[in-house]
Amino acid sequence: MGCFHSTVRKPVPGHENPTILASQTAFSVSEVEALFELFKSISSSVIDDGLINKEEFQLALFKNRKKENLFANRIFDLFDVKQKGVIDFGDFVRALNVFHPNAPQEDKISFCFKLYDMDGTGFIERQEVKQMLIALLCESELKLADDTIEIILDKTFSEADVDQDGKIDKSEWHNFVTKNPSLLKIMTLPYLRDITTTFPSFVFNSEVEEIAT
Amino acid sequence: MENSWFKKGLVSQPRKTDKLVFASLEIHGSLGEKINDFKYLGKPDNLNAFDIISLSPGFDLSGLFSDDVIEKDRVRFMSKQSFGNIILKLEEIAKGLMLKVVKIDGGLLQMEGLKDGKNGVLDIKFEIFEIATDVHFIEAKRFGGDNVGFLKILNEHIRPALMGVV
Repeated sequence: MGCFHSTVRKPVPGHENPTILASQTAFSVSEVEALFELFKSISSSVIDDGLINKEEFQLALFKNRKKENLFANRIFDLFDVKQKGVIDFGDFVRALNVFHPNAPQEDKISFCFKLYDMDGTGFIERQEVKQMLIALLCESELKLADDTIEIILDKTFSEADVDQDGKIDKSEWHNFVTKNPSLLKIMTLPYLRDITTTFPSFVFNSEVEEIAT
Repeated sequence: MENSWFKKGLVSQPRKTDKLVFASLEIHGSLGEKINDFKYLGKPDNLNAFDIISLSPGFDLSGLFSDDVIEKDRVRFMSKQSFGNIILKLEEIAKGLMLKVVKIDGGLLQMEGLKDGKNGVLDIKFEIFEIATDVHFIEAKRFGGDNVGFLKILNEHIRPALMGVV
């Protein structure tokens, strides 16, 4: 990686050439630069190592580094593509790309499926949905009777689980989401369209020339 | 409508649109006096398990882009009451607080303050979703007015009235 001099900016692990990242995503080079400013601030908030760990992610999302949330954990796990327990800049940009308003629907549908397929079996099982539903109700401080929960699950699965095998496969999910497009609402962040204006502290630096690949 | 408030019944033909039934009602009090005249949409949207799960703030990545705690502009809670009761309670509370209910549309209700405050006129929008029979999820969002007032109304008046079992 090279020597660390006090006069030279510390190389950020996984900091890829913004031009390359821009070419692979819906972001422009200056948007990737703006995302890097955001990434730097999040990744240095607890440990200044150029990587986002779980606590830093929680701090950024909830303004509370100790706040554990089942669903935020799922998102973190999907951002952490290499399963190292940390998110590098490339991971960050590529994952956020799926949330871009211009990202292909297919990518959003696929990401969402993986989100809910908690054990990664390639199916969303009824038990998984039940677990997530109970977690949500807990978060909202509401208890529902077990048979009310079963009714909700029955209704959902009768619509989504076409072959009635107790689990939702990728193609059933695809059809279900197409009929219920509001389910993909969580997969789009309108902020990503105006990223360069969202960060007034962003100063364009000549990253593009400096980084040697 | 089983509720005795709706004495007049339907005055125009209901129109089915996907999950919602639109109806126009005149509301009368128990003495027959006319209380309100507004469009009352019969049913809020029905939520499936994934709709409910996706309500979690854990899925809301907008926090990454903002230093503010976003939650303070939005309050979410559940109510084990019928849609009709929820609407009536909200109207009662609005009346008591001298707030105007300006629009009722499907599962949407807007409360507006009458006086101009620090951040403009208080403007709260309520969105009500059905989760199961007589179980509803309510989201209140502040669109105008000061935040302290908004939270006070929600936490001291609305949530206690709607979260307790009748």
